[in-house]
Amino acid sequence: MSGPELESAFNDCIEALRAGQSVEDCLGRYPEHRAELEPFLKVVTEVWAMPRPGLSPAAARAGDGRVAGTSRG
Amino acid sequence: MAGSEPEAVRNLVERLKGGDAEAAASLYRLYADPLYRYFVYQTRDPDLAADLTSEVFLRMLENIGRYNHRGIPFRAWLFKIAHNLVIDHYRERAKRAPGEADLPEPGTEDPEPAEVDRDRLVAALNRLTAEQRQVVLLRFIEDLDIKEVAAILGKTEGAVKALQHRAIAALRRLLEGDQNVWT
Repeated sequence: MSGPELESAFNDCIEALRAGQSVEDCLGRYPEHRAELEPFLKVVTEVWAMPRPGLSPAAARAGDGRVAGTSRG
Repeated sequence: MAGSEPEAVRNLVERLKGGDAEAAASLYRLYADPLYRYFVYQTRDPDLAADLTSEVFLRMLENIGRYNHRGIPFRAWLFKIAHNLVIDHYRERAKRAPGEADLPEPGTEDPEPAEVDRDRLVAALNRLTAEQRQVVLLRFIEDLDIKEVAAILGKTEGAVKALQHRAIAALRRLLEGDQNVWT
């Protein structure tokens, strides 16, 4: 995918997806670019589905304690 | 931009500026996990990621007096500190071991936390350029808006839009097995 028009369509779709629209809704707004946009939006949705690791409870307690100790110090 | 910052966060920041330790603890609980995620994906080292997360908050305490929410949302300010810490980390690493400043190739180190999938998407993410990886993490893992990412990376909004487009294009090519992703 290249060109400012496609880049603009891609960015519009990203914002639409973030606002809760479906990939199909976005593609429907750009039928002329559907074939190029679809694989890009598929990658975006795969990235959105990646794991969201969090601090372990022990690490969170340690960090919290470090911050609290410094802010009170 | 500052208008999008939750009022509760702005209140916590004001309390922190007044020396309220409980506000510091609340901000830690609010942002520690997002920052940790950012560092895990950047460094692929959970222990280092936890240390860097704490370091962000220590720098927050040191510099909160200079923070002004009208310039940049607080969340973006924290991620800007994180972004600078990642840059410092790789700069230091390059000094210690010249030629090894970039992220390791997938499979050549083994420090990932169990909860991070070793799937091909993570491997592809780690093959992006540093800038491309940053924009993907900030936009699509942390869900920051374009203005926030622009403030963190010191770029215009248009540049961030172009960068996110190139990053997703590169990811797609990597996932399809094309190694020539930066041309």
